[in-house]
Amino acid sequence: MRLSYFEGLGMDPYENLAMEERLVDICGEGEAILYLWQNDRTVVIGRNQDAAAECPLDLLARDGVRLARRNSGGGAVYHDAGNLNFSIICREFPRGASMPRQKMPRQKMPRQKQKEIVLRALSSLGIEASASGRNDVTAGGGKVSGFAYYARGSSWCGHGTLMVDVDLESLQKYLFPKRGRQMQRGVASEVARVKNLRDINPDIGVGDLMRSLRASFEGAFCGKCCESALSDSDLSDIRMRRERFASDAWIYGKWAREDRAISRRFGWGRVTLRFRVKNGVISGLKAETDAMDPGLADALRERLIGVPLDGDNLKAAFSGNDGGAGCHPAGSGEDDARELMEIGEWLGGLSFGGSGE
Amino acid sequence: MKVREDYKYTRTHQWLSEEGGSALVGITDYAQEQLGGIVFVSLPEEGEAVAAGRPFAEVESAKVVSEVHSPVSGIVGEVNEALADEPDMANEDPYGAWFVRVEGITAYAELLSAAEYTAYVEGLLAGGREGEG
Repeated sequence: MRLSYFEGLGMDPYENLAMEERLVDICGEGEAILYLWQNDRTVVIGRNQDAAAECPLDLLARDGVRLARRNSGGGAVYHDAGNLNFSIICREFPRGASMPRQKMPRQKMPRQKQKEIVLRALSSLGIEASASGRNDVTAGGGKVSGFAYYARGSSWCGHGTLMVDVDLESLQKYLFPKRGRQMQRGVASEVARVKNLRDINPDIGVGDLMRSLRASFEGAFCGKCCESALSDSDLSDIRMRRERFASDAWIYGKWAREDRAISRRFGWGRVTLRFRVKNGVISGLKAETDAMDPGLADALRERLIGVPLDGDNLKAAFSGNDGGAGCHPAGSGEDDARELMEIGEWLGGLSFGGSGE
Repeated sequence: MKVREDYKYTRTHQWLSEEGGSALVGITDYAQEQLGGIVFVSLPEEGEAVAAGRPFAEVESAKVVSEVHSPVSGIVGEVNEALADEPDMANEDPYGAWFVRVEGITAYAELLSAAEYTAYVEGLLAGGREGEG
């Protein structure tokens, strides 16, 4: 098996993600690539997450923290120079297939192998870590690493974080904690108790970790990495891909395209509504609330989908309110009715301006 | 693993059910089992063109974000919005949870009968199930 090793070109998250994608696309038959990279202060959201639901966009903009969307699934994470990212890329799929093939010649499934590489690298630095849940690695009672995966063409990429010395205060500041948030379409993050490796071994640095990951990668595949370099065409391709990763269309996704988002705090909690509008009519609605009421988002969708986006029609959608009998959990009917009434009053008094193009 | 006798299949684990001039497309029971719990399905818009053998949708599970390939070329006439709202329908009822209805079909990918697809998957499974974590 041919082993290749690359490091990121810089600390720019968009360039780093672009380079990863390029490596995935050029990974050859019988090749495995280890790619290590770091981002400057960045919130990285999962492929199918709603940016506005994961992090305070205004704070990020104010503080110069970047926002990036990666190719893999899963939840939002915060990166800075205290975090090391690793990607393991290989060709594990028959060409054109979308699903992993069961038959893995001469080696275990890549997810399992990747976990072993990370656990051995940590162990060689005196950190006893273990795989936890489906995609996490824990040590010293906290999560030190999280994995995520994507398949593209006939290649597979598993990547993850390793928290060496991340500024935990920033992490808390730039990622929303999740409390009873309701997601209409979109993947919610799970909040984990995180831990820096340096709190377990104070002598560890990012450089040490890079060396031990490389050694562990080579050990796992029984070989040595050949010195690999990017060609000029790789570099120009990475520049093009970077534009996509840095674009609003990619970062904010389809909910930004034709969206009208409104938000208001009520006595019982905050409500954020994102409308998709087609020909002036609400065709999609994403409702988020920190009120502990699992039925509210559904009740709102039931009333609002198909309704023209203007105050009078929205108000009408809430009149004849019977508390939405039949679609709410027992016992919460009264609260629901009150919440819906307040939301209806709010929407009825809004002017949305412009025509729904 | 379940296979529906009246559907056609691809080696990339999609099913096709033709009725009249259009066809419903989804992913197979084997595919959903490989993926595990599906948390997100990304679907095309109505009116978009799809091409046989090319990706037209994506699914995200805890294991992977993966492309879904179209068994036919044509135009998306209908999108299963209910699946977008509840992606795990594809786990619970893979042969009921259609992704899109394709109309104006102009070309087909290589399709397998239920028996052929069953044999194909059995071949994959016989290839050995190694230490998946």
